[in-house]
Amino acid sequence: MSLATISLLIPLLPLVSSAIVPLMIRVRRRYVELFSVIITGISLVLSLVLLMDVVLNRYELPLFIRYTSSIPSFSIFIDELTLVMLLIVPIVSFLVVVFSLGYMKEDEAYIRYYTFILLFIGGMLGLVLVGNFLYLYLFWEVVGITSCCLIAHWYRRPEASKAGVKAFIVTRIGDTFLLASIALIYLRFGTLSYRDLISKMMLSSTITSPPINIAKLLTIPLILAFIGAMGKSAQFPLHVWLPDAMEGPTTVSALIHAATMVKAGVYLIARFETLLHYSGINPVLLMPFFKTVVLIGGFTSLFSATMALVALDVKRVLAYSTISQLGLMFLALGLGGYVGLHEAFTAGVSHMLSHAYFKALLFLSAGAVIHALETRDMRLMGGLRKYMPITCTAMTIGALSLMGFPPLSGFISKEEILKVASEAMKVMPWGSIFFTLTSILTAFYSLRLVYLVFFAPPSEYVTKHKPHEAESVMTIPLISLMVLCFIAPTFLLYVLEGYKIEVHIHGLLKSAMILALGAGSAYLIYFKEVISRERVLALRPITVINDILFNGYYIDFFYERVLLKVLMGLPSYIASVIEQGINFIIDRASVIILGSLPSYIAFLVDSGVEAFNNALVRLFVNLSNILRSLHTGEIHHYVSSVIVGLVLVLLIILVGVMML
Amino acid sequence: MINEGIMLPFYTLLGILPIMAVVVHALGKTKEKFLLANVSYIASYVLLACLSVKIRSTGISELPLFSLRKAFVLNPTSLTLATLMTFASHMLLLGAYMNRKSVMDKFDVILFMLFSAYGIIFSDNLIILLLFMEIGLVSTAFLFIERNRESIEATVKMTIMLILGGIFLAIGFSGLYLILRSKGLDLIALSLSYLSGTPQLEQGSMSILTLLFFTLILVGMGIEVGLVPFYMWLPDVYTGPMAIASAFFILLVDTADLYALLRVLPLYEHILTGTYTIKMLFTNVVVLISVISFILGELSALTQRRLRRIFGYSGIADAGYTLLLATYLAILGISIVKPSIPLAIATFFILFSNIALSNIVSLIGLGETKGITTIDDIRGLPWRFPLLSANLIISLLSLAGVPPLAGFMAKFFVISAISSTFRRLIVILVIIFFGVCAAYVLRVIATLWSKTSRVTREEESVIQLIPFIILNVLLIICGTYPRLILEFMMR
Repeated sequence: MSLATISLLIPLLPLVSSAIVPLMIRVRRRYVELFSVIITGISLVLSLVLLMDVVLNRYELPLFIRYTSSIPSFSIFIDELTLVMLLIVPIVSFLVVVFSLGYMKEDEAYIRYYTFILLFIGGMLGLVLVGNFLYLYLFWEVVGITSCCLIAHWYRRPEASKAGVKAFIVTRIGDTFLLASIALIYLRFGTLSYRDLISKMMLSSTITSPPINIAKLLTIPLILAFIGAMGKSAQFPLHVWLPDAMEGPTTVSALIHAATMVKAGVYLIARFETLLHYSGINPVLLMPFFKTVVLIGGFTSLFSATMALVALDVKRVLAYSTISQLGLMFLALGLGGYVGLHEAFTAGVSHMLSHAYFKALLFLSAGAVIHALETRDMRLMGGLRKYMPITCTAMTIGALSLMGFPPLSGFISKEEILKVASEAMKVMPWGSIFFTLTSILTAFYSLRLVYLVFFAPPSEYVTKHKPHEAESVMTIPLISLMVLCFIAPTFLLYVLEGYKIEVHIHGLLKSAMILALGAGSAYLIYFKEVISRERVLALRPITVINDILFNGYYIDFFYERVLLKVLMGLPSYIASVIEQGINFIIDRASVIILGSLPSYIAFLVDSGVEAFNNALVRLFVNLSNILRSLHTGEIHHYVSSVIVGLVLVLLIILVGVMML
Repeated sequence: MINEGIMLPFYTLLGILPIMAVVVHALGKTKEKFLLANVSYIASYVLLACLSVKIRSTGISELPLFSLRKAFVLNPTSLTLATLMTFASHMLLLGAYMNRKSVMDKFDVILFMLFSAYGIIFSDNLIILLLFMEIGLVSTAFLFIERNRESIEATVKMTIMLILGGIFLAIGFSGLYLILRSKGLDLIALSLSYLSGTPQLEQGSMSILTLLFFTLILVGMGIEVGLVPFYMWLPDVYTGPMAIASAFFILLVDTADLYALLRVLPLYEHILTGTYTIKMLFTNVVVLISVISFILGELSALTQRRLRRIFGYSGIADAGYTLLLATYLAILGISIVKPSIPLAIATFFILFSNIALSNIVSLIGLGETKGITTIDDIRGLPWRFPLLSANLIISLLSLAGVPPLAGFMAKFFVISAISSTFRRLIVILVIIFFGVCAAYVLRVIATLWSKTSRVTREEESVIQLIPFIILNVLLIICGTYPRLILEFMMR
């Protein structure tokens, strides 16, 4: 098989299979599950074959494979970013589908579940492989819509249904901006193909005479695209959908809301960075864009980490953590404007890879716990390490990686971000500040999570439920992801040009300090209980802060109760003011100038319109009834009508001819 | 131009269907019959694809004509029409089999209908055209006939009327042949590709005779497609036989006949003799018939209560619009055997109107098995059968001309075509009666959503609905990307 065929088959297989699954309604459940596993497995194998082919044959990247000559042409674009995404999407997808065999085994709507999962995987693979912004947008919509359907999988629960709708509406805001960005790119460059765009940007920035202001051409489309990415990757203020999306099955959360779809936004910005890099544009020219990315990403990372500190729902903690880590990825990518595109890209993308694995591990571990206990409330957990040792190990490793504990992948990727943040310290100190504070809080809530679930004294609920370790079909994906948490950075050695695993003493010290502050304080508070948590929480200022954080800074409240009401109410308020004004003028004018004439005219017009309406309807109905009565159903009437018709036509023609 | 590379697949296409029909007839088991019918369909796809490739590979300059011994003519428009018609009828066949309709024993007849449709679409000779129309009539009669009074009645009415139409056509064609032979054109006097390019005949007494024979052809075609006042039989064939049989009739025979109308009628522009005024007179008569047809068709549909009958009248209105399009082609004076945008958009209209109509009739047929026959029976249907209703609504919306469905584009094409050619009054009338069509379709949809009492969801099979879903997807795709079809029809 050629590279072109393999690249096409990778997204096509799951996409086509998603249409086949609904036809398997009469097939035994086991075969449907097996079919889904096989398809995702083949997709994974093909992705690995493609990856090895590109790496071993040392193709000069980027590769551009064009399939159709029509406009817009369908093409595949393979570069370092694509290869990293191929290390994330098919692997996590396959492991999640395997995990689903156990997690979803009692779910009745398995046909719907596997249909959407396969459609989602196909859409996501298409998104990362295509070489044209139009097709990227199409796949972007596919993953968006399927993710909403999967969030609302248990749609009979009002929370799930509401969460699905909320995700749809909030991401739609971002999607609209992305569409505007794509339209602007097309208007300004006349193409949406990555390859053509690179050459046109290269021309615009170098040999055009007089030189075109590239900043003017690109800044607005890039900022619009970033707003699109903010919607998909749940960045402030479009982050509100992700915590609620945890109402969906945990497998969906692991696949979509941790490892793949939320990365689409990061992928989009990274894709733009690669295009800028290939076209040789100096990122300094686009500083407003990079500054926006750093500030929004950094702020979101800190802001959502604070919310994760107090959340009591295990999946909600992970959701806030995801938002926070995505913020860090944006922060790293945004620093490209300060330290160079390639360095920032390497930092952002390496954290994207390690995060995909450790967050999928954390979500699936949480899924195993929820599956065993049937609750997501961490207050009802505790002491699970005895009952679920493998899950405990998995979640601990995931949490350690999230904290940035050496030698796990999270440590390596955070080192990369730390490196670029330190480099940009002089010109953009916010990057370093946000990163440091977020990392301290991350270490704190990660350890708190592990403590409350596994190491705290067991709750009554746990002793009553007597949970047990998940079945092997669920533990195997956990073990696989644990291994990946250790070895992920080594993959990048082959995929990213010039990538080295380096640990500087300066970075190591700073990491140790962050861990000591974050994890150390969590250890003292939770494990050693040096301070009574109850007493601290009883303090009035702490209660207020706790309430604010627990309610997500009341942003949802603001959106639903204030913003939505104002937005919905404003037009009707304006309309009522105008209506009242017009009524006032008409009333006064009619009383003062024309007495009751206008109302009389209005009455006449109203009656006239009504009478005309009635007459028209009656006319058509009566005509129709007359025609019905002509249709007797008698064959001799039919033949007569033919003869009469013929005679009439001939008569008209003969009269016509005679008159000529 | 005789092209050997095209003759083989074409005659194989025409030859394989009757042979397969005979073999299907001889087979005993329904499953075997179904299998062989499918094989025939697949063979048809392959051969049509071969022909398309062959025609396209010759390049635009060598187009448009591949006249095969003056019997058949192939062009991209007719090939696209035949391909989509074959696909849609294949879906109906699958639908019929999955829903265990009794027509599944008549796969042989369906293959004959397909054979006659190909003959009508590709014929380049008036006698060949008539012959295939008669084959279509006979096979439809066999398909319709069931052991119940209503179907027998409809079959008898249709047969008598269509024989009458055939007689008029035969007289008209023969008369035309006699006149042209007297001008020394005997060998090719009945070839459409010749007639559409022939110079006009001289003025004189011959012109009156030509006019008379053309009038007979108009009446004959009018009976075949159900124009007013020759339309009475058409609503009966929508209601009398089994719904799926009516759907096959609409899709294969009616579509092919409407396409024949598009090709035969504009000949008057090329042949009709002499002065401009005679031509104008005939044009006015044709426009009058078309206007009365769509007005009567749409108005009659408005107060019908029986579901299938509503759409029977819609079929009459569609015949009226098609006649108007045929006049439009005649006025433009374009060759009706060469591909052109006007011919492509007229073909688009008849094809997608009839696909929507046949899908609607088939879906109503599915509802009839649950006791749904009149408009009152469909109240609350979306709650009882959500999938069936969703499909029905999509096809209905296409018929009403709602974007982004193919029906919308079809109607849009009609309006844009006639607005450049006809008087403003005609354009306004067409727009008003498209509105009337939307009104009765929306009445059906509104009734669907009204429920008088509590209804519960009943069991329905997704698999049985898949062929109809596919046809609806086709309506959506072709409505969204009409250029795709038009380009195929043009290239």
